[in-house]
Amino acid sequence: MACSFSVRTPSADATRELAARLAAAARRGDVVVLQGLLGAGKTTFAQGFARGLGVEGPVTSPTFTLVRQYPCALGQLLHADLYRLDHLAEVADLGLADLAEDGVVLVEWGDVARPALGPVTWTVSIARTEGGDDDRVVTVSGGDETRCGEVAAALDARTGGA
Amino acid sequence: MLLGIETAAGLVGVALADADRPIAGAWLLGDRRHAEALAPAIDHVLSQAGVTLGDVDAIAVDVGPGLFTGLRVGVATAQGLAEGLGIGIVEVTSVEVLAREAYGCGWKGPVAAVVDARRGEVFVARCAGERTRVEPPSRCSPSALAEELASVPGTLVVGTGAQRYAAVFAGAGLEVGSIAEPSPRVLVEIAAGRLGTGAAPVPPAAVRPVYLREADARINWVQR
Repeated sequence: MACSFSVRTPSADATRELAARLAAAARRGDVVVLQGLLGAGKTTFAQGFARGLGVEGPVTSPTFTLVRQYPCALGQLLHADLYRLDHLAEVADLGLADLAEDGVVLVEWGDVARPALGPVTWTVSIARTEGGDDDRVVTVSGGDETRCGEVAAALDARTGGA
Repeated sequence: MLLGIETAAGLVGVALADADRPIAGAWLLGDRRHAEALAPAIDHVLSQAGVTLGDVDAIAVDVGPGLFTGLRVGVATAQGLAEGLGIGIVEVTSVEVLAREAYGCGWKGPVAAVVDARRGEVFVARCAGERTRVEPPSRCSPSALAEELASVPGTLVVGTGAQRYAAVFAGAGLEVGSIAEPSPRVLVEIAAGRLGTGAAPVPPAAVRPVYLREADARINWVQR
């Protein structure tokens, strides 16, 4: 039994704030996949998520460095971006599945590389709406039903279910 | 001279073998320190043994399965050194090293070599007896493995995964050995044995870590 929650965020700040609330429900060992087209706001979400984990200082896109590492409340936050990779072996080489035990892993474009990532805790999809330039719908879905309640509470989401 | 590099689990290990026996070695249980510890360890072992890199004829490396944070350092270092020296590489798996050490300690029955894969999973390979080949490794959950192994009486479970999930395996009536990390000494013993029976080292570029994470595919980009 999986759960899925969608929340509308009318601005980049609202997207960051939502991400920070999800981060507050994160646990050591979590792997979060971040989906969305170019410009959807994946890095914006990552910035909020990092802030929610107590990361200080700027959080920038890891597109060219592949992985950035930040000390955080749960150990370390690994912020990865698979956009430039072409082969699952390259993803496996990043060792993200190993490193998740040392904190939390957030993977942009991670959906395409699930076999190399190991168990994924949550998938976050960000989509533009017709409501305006910074208006988004953020959908958080996960397969661990024992944590659906806390995610719902963290997101303050009313929608839910399978 | 055969230089062995062991980084498949938590250990950073180096060993040197002359003809058919290990003559020097060093290891560090270095949590996440593979990259900074490996090259100095190689340097140290070579100098203590009174040899130089130029005396090395082949490099043995543990290709996993194991943890990628360490594996990529060991495999890349082996490849770089071998390429530069114009020599070949002997690939040894972590599970072979573990099983071989169990038999070297005098165990006679079946062995399951279990390497911690983190986040609730292990890599496992079984070996029916000392003179039997180690089966190809696979990835699974410790509890499913314990249940399966319990049907083969007298199996010894060794490796970092055996240690981490010792309670699970012991609870299934299995014997848990004290061998945890693959040993660089045993690694060079295996590799030296292979070279001694006429096996040829492989070219550095042909060496591949054992992923066991269905990584043999190109990414199917539809959105990028």
